Amino acid sequence: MRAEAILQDVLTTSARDLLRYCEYRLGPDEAEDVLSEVLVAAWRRADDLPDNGHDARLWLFGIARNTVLNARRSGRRRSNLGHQLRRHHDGTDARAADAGLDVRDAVDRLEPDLAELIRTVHWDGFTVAEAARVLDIPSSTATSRYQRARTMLRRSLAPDGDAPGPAETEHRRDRAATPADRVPDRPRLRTVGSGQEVAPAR
Amino acid sequence: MTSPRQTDDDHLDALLNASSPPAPLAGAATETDLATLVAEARTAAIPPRPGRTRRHLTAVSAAVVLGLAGAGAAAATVTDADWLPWAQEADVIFTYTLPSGAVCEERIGDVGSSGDPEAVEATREFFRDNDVLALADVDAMIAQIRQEDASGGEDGTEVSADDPDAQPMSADMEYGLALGRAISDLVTAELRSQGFDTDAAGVSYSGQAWCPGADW
Repeated sequence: MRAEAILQDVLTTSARDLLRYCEYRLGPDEAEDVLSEVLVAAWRRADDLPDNGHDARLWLFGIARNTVLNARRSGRRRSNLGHQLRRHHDGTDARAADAGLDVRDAVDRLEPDLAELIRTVHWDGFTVAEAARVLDIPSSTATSRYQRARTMLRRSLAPDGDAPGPAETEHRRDRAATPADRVPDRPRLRTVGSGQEVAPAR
Repeated sequence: MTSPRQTDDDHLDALLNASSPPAPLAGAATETDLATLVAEARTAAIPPRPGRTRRHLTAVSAAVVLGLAGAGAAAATVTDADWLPWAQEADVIFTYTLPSGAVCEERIGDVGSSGDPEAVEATREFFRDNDVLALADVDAMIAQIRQEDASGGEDGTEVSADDPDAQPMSADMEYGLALGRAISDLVTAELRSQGFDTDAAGVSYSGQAWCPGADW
């Protein structure tokens, strides 16, 4: 019962962030179904839930990560759960007025593992160490990937457009000096569950 | 002094932080929408077991009446937070989550006795000094209720299939009844351990629960 109570708290706190996570990656038409699958999977695995709010939240986003991957692999199929949310969405493509398109395209051109790490840190508000846990990779791997991705993005987004070729990017990898965990605009903290502080998605 | 490198990093961070795609669904969803999704998922993942009947209700009600000789009372449920007068100054307030995911706030108070004022104080002290929710073994009580049901109810009386008491009882209802009965047993055991004659003391108390979204 304790695990289910903690899960209820974490889901209540994180449901909107999870929906946003799914929507960022799959778009509004599929996000609700995938969120439902995430929630069902979480309830079925409640016994595996870490017993503090921070770890539980990372565990939850790990489930979301895997569910999104499965959805992409299998194509989408509708679940039978209720579709409360889509009534709020009028079907227009909000991306038309999206100012971040160029940057997002640059992120999309990264290797998939690098791109997802960048999204997890900068879209979902996790630190690199937290993102490593969500993505189920070693923290050291996440740090090196993050530095590499930033180097590539810095070059591809340079105003003069002098995006480096692969050899040059590789050469510059060691010069990526930004500490992996020094992410400006660190998200605010809030309290969930048993008083653990959790960094929510923005 | 800010270095060019720092400025460069800050600029890149700003660009990346602002590059997330629009998320109109997440922005427009109400708390109620999200809570409903969470509750639906719970029901889909952990469906209520079939075959439970409202015969439980009969059994539990009888048990509570019997328990009044020692201690206990069924918790009334309210649809909004219109607490009864005694609940404004309850002896204990706690929250718990029902199987559907609905969260209840329950208040217990209005402790009385038909025969022993000291038992009233002992009961109130028990509520004040103990985490009754942690002490109550709801799972064991649910199992006991099901066992009673399987054997034909507490009094062994069979109920016909079309009797209202034979209709399925929701998991929320079962949980709420089991919790109330488990707490009643705790109070009874405590009073007896202190040497009270629970039959003679005739202790009673009231409970009121607010469970928005519960599946009763």
